[in-house]
Amino acid sequence: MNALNLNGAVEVMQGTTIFRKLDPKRLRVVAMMGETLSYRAGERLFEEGEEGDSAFVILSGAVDVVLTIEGRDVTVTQLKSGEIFGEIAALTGQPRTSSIVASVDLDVLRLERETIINLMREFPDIALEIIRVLSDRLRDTSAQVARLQSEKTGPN
Amino acid sequence: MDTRFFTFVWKYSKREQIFILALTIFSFPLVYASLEIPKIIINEAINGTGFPVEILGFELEQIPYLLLLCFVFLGLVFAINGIKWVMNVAIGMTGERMLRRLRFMLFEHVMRFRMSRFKTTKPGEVIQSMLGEIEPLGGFIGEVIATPAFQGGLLLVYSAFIFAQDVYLGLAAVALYPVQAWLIPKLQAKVIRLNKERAVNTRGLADEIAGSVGSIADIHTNDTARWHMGQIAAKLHQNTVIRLALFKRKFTIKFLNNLINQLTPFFFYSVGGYLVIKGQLDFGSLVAVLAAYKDLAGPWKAVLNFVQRWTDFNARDSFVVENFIGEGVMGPERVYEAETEPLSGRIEFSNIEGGPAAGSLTIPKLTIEPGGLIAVTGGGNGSREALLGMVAGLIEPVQGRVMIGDRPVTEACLSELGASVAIVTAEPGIISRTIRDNMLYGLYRSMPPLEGSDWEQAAEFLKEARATGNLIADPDGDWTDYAAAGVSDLAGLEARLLRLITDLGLDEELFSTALNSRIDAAEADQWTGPIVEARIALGETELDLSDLIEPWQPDAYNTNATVLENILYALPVESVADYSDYAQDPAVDEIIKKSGAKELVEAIGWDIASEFAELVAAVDVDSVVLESFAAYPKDEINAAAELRDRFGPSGLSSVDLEGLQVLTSLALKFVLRRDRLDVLDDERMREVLACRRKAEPLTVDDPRFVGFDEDQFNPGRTIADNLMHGARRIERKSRWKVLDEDMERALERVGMRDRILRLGLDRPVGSGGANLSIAVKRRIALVRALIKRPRILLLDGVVGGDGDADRQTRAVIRAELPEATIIYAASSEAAAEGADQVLALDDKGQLEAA
Repeated sequence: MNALNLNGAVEVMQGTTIFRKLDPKRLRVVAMMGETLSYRAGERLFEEGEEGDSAFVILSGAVDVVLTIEGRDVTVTQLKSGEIFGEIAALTGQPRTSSIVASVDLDVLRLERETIINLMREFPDIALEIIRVLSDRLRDTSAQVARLQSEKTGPN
Repeated sequence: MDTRFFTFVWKYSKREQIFILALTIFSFPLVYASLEIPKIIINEAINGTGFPVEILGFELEQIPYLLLLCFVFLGLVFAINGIKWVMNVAIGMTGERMLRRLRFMLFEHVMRFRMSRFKTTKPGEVIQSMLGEIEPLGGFIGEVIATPAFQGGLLLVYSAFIFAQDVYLGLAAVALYPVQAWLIPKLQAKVIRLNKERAVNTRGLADEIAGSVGSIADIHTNDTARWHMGQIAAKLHQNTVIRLALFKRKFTIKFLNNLINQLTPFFFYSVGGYLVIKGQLDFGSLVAVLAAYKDLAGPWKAVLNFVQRWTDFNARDSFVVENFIGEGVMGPERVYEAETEPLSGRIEFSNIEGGPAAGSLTIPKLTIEPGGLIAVTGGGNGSREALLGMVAGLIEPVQGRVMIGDRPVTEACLSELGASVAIVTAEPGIISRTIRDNMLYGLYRSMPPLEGSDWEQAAEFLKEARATGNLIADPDGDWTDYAAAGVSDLAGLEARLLRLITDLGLDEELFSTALNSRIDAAEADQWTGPIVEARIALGETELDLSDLIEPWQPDAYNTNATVLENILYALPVESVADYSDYAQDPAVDEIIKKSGAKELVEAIGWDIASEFAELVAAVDVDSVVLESFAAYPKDEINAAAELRDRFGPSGLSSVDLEGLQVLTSLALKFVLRRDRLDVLDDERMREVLACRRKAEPLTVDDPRFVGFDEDQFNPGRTIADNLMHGARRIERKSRWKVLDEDMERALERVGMRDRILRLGLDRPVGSGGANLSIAVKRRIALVRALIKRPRILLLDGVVGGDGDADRQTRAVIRAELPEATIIYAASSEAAAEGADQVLALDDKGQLEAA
């Protein structure tokens, strides 16, 4: 199934946490309102610190989440098909918190801030699911901070 | 400028006024004759005896005599009305010219205002007083002498006639005039006060409206539309209240005038009747007096009316003019002095107290030597802005003064300031012209002469400008001051402009917008050669073009292009504003019909409409979600869905002609990769290709189309589309910039870069620069400042950061203006590094000791 096709996108999105509660008809609306983009392996979608106004849903392929630490790129995690990223900058208008690099050939659905807000208004289920994703991220980050702190105060 | 209305009118229109008066006097005997001739016709020609009569040596019988008199009468009618026509035109034109002169004078005065005066000048009020309030003056000015002379003359003649019949009757006729003369001005004074009040209120209203439109963003984000409507309603109410009071006064005056005029016959009947009965007056005279009195009423009414308008317009004129004169208006040389010595040399501040509006800027003494790079830090409370503004003469200190080369800045004429100082702020003013106009704006200072201009009506324009004291200059001529830019001609200026654009990094933006715009159809042939060459050059790029462009192939469906392009394998040369317009194009319609694609297109349109109907059903009525769909606006989606629901049960075959048009429009602009709807399967794509084969021989020799494989520039498409021989891959949008850069290189190699940049310069910027980002606006303002080579450059809130980009730009500016004093607002102390002098302002606007 070609992910660049509307039906392909819908099929992928049915498996995602954010959109799984929507029926296929509404998923189609979401897919139509976004634009589908392709990236080759190694291409960068955006850079840490950049202004950003859109979120992405991975339709096929995977991306590396990259942080620049002391001038070096460090891949902190990898996101796979069905996962969403870039939603923090898209919703808050803050700069991107990390860089994103396509780890293999990649297809994504790009949703602009206005579209996301419109969709959340129309389908409140999406808003609830986005809150859940954000809380998960916050929990992970807190855990990471705690781990880093214990490393620092650790055996040194 | 004189506040006295009559002085102004007499000074500038005495010749016209005397001419109108002369015409009036000249028409008197003719009017008299035209009243006399009918009497002769009846008494002598029709009822007369004793023919033939002798006229100028000819003997005339009755019928020829009658005809002669009739033709004389006819001639008089023509002559009188001809004079009236000439007089009316003269009255109208005199009024209009004087109005134009007055308006121009008022505007000129606004241009001469000191900056401080603008604190209390509201744009809405200026507009209202310059346009609305003085408009009625135009009709009045032309008759300011003629009417009182004419009507007053009639009045005197009729009165004299009555007095000649009988002194008592004469006295009776004018008995109430003193009452009117005493009472009416009293009432009229109140009317004038009310008129003034209404004018004040209307000015307030105009300002309120201007303010509301100007702050529409705040209205939207604060939900204050209703509050603003409330304010407007209050002003409108006030207007109504004043108008009501005005009506009462005005109609009271009218009532009194009518009453008094009709009261006078009471005296005639009583006094005249008494005299007739007593035998002191003969009956015939009384009748004649009554008739004369009837004629007297007209002129008297006109004179009264004139007096009322006279007082009203006098008050109106001075009320408007007072607003534009007085303190804070500099001499005419402020705007007219063209050749003066620019301000140059050291900048000196002495005893400066800026006051609260200038962030309490306080500078006891400061000298800035010429040629330095000066950074201003701190002063975030507005004092930094004030400091820069004072050097530019935009802000006047409450105390103390700023001198440039021993001359006070605030006393300089605009030509001196303009040639010496340039200021770039974070919110630059952009005029609603092209980018080029905005960049050259600082050079538009040499007035192109009107004498010798060859455009149509140039001579008339010149004559009128002279007759009204307006500016004698060709509005559309070349206003550019080439010498100020350090070049000798247009070519030199263009070269300098392009270099500045490139140095300041504006070229990329200009290039990519120009690349995606169309050229003038008349130039298309000149572009064919270079574009074909550039296409070859583009093919030699290292880039994998097939990854970014889906090429046109005669036997393959291009999924990144529209259905229309796929059917025609060509596009019309006629450019359209909106892609939907192709559906209305008769040439397109003809090819679609002849190639047998019509039914296929409608079927695709029907399926798109069906998809839209489902889409609309899945969301709320009038959902905002639909606004996000790229190619199809919300209205079109809703219309398509409605169409589908209306004809749904009976299918496509039942759709009416209008509906089919909608479906065709939906289908022709459908791009598979972009719109992603399931309306084009392999079978349909094959059908499209079959139609293409039939369409090709039809379009190939048709001058209305250019085929995709033809080596010919199609002005109906953008430069990029002409260059690519394919369609950009929509899903690779993130790399289009790289592709644009490659196209730029290809075009540069065939020598087209400058030409395309120039095309970019000709792009209109929209109202106030609505089509431009703030970053681009600031760059344009920088070019504007640099191109006129100022001696002092002030940068307030632009390129003042410590990042590489800003540092680099500052270096470019320094290289452009090696000898200028450059004062910039540094965003931080780090950003002030490298400056020759740092002016540190604290939070209270005090200059810290350097």
